[in-house]
Amino acid sequence: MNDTVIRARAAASSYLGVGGVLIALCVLLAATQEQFLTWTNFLNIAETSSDLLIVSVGMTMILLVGGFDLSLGGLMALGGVSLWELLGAGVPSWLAVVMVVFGSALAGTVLNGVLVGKVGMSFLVVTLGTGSIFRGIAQIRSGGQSQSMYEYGFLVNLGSGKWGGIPLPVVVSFVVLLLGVLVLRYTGFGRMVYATGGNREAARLAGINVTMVSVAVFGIAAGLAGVASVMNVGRLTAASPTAAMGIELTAGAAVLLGGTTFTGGRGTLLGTLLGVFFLGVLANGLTLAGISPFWQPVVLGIVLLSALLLDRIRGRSAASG
Amino acid sequence: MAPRGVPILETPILETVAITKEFGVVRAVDAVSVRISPGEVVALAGENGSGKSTLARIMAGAIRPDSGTLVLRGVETRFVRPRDALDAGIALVTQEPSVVPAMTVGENVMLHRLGRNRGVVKRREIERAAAAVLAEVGLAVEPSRRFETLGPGERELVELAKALATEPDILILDEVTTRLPDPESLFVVVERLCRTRRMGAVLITHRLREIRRLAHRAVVLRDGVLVGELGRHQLTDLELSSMMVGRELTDLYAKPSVDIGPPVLEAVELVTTRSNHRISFSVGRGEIVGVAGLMGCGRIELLETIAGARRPTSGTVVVDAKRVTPRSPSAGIAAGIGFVPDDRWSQGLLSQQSIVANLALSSHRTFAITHRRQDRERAEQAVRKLTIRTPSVDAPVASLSGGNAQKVVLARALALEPAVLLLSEPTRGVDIGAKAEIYRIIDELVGHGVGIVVSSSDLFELIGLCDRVLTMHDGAIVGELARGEATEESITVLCGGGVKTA
Repeated sequence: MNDTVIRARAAASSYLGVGGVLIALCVLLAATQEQFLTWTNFLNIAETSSDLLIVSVGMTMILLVGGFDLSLGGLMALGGVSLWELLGAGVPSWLAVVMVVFGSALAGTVLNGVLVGKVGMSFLVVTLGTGSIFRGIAQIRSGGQSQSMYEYGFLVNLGSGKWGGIPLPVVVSFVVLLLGVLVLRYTGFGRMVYATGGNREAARLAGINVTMVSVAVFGIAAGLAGVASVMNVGRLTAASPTAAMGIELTAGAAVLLGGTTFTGGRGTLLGTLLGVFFLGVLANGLTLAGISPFWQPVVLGIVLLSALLLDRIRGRSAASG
Repeated sequence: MAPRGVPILETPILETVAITKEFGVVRAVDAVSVRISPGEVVALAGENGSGKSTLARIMAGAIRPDSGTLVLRGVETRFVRPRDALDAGIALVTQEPSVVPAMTVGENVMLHRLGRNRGVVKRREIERAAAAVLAEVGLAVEPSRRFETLGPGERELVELAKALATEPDILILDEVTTRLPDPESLFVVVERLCRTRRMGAVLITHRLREIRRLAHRAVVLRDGVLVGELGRHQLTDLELSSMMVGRELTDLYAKPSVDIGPPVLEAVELVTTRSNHRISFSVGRGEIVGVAGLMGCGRIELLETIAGARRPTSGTVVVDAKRVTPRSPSAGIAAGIGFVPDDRWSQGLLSQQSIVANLALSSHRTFAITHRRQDRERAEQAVRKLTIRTPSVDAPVASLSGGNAQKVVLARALALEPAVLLLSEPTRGVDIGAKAEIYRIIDELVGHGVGIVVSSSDLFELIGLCDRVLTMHDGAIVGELARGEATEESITVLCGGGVKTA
């Protein structure tokens, strides 16, 4: 056996599953729905998936170190409502956006990151708590009402503008993805993320600052949730305290579908992209076929469980030694 | 009393016929046929990665073979789950803990019976039955005690009692003696059961003297293939190890003499979190200092503290006449302290990741761009230099044998060109071939003036390798033996808290 075979096998096994299902689904839809295979429809899928993709990039990093973040949806709602308040108070638009993104990153670093990474509390408990706090504050500040943001032109442009024919939310989400890929693959920090998730103690003893890595991934994911919240408000031209409800779970599902392991150390952003697109195509297909959108979570659940089951069966035969 | 020869006329209790098992591309066990007769102790000998443990796990139904058959008392059998083997009277004891720490000793020993009796647990009955088995292995512990309150040596005996409680016809012992304080008591029990109950036993151990002590014959495996069988009278160390390695072995400890230079590492009144004793010692350039001591004596904590993996309560660490006292492993590395931790799998390696990734671990900088090609070249160099046996530098380290995995951990520490190298159990669970290679590497390092600390439970290693041996007891250094003074006996006495008499 040569090096390429080993490397190819390791790479393929992580997202072959969802890739196959995605292709099968696309073939099926292309054959049955004539609107499916159109550029407009593709852009439509990419646009509706853009928030999820941005959040999933951050979630991938957290899952890679063996964590999970249940607070991202709440944080997005708070980000949107904060943007509404900042703009309402007359803060310049660019500054408001920067404040929302960095404020989110700060909240994620200080609350989630420090409590999980430094204090050593359970990530599920911490992010369940902070997520509840974030969404609660969003409810309080907005009075529980969805607030129209139509008056802010730059937000409308951000949400519905185009860049070379491609909707801006799609451009932003792919830029985030690309940056994520570069960071994870080609920087020392990226390798530290994989090392920390693969074996925390070994990484620590090898001189890696595992505390910094854990704190940082929560901060990065929260910052990306801030970016997603701005894009979300722009697309919907409204800031709602109930925005992005449950997006952290959908993102987690997309990441896991993409072959990242729940225990950390293994996974790629390319897999995550496939996972996100699978969910997008699925929702799109159900709409095109005129099937109730309520079926989407059911199908998602079935596919997620089958993908992991398949992985389990394959894993047992391949690497049980 | 039954004769001590090999009973060949009886039907074997268990026979493996041309058993083969592959993991990916590695053929771990290749058409191996072994038979175990009543009352007989068969040793499975071989280097790490030779397939001993895989064969043992197949016998115990823990994994299924790809081909070949198991013949149980003359009848062809298939074990679908571990339970089937247990019901058939085959019990496996391994290094891996198989107990529930929060349950009592009694419940753990009788774990196989908890599901029986229509689900009703009769505590008193269980404790009475457990007490009998515990007495048999010579462990004086109340069955009602919680397992997690036991000490290390006692835990292993509970594992053994747990296996014996199933009243096995075949007892498989896979490297259980490495963590046992007194293996002899175990051997007495096994011998008695072989005699009185005609139990068969399979012994897997790296310690050749244990094979000589207990086994009626030894089956030698190399790279998954059965390469030979040695009867009781043929069981000499040289015969066994040559067959295991497949070549003639020369002296393991051919230590070249190196001039010892000025101190490169000094611990000054170092107090670890383990105890309040102040520990002071120094290591010269090109010197190998051994640290001996029983389990829990504080050896591990001492090395971890010097390396920066634990914070000292007080005291100083000096490297090359500079006070460093690292507060983190990265500070230790920066100060020129290389560290090979106690447990290579849980503390040393990312088992699912490649050799390249594992070797590059200590050289990552947060905001730096990674140099993939450079990392690969370095890994290929290390693989050549330390003769790490692997199909590729991209193979996950989990696919390597213990000895080769240990070399990866060692190579990572060496890549940083440390002034001081701390080795905790550098050859535990490592086969003889790899052991010799690791010793060669150590010899080469002292030739370059590196100061080395070896903490080990292998007394022969300490005696053969070290210029000085420090002995620890209850968190303090209680003795120092020069090369020549250090013998199995003198070390044992000092480690037990005795005083130096010579």
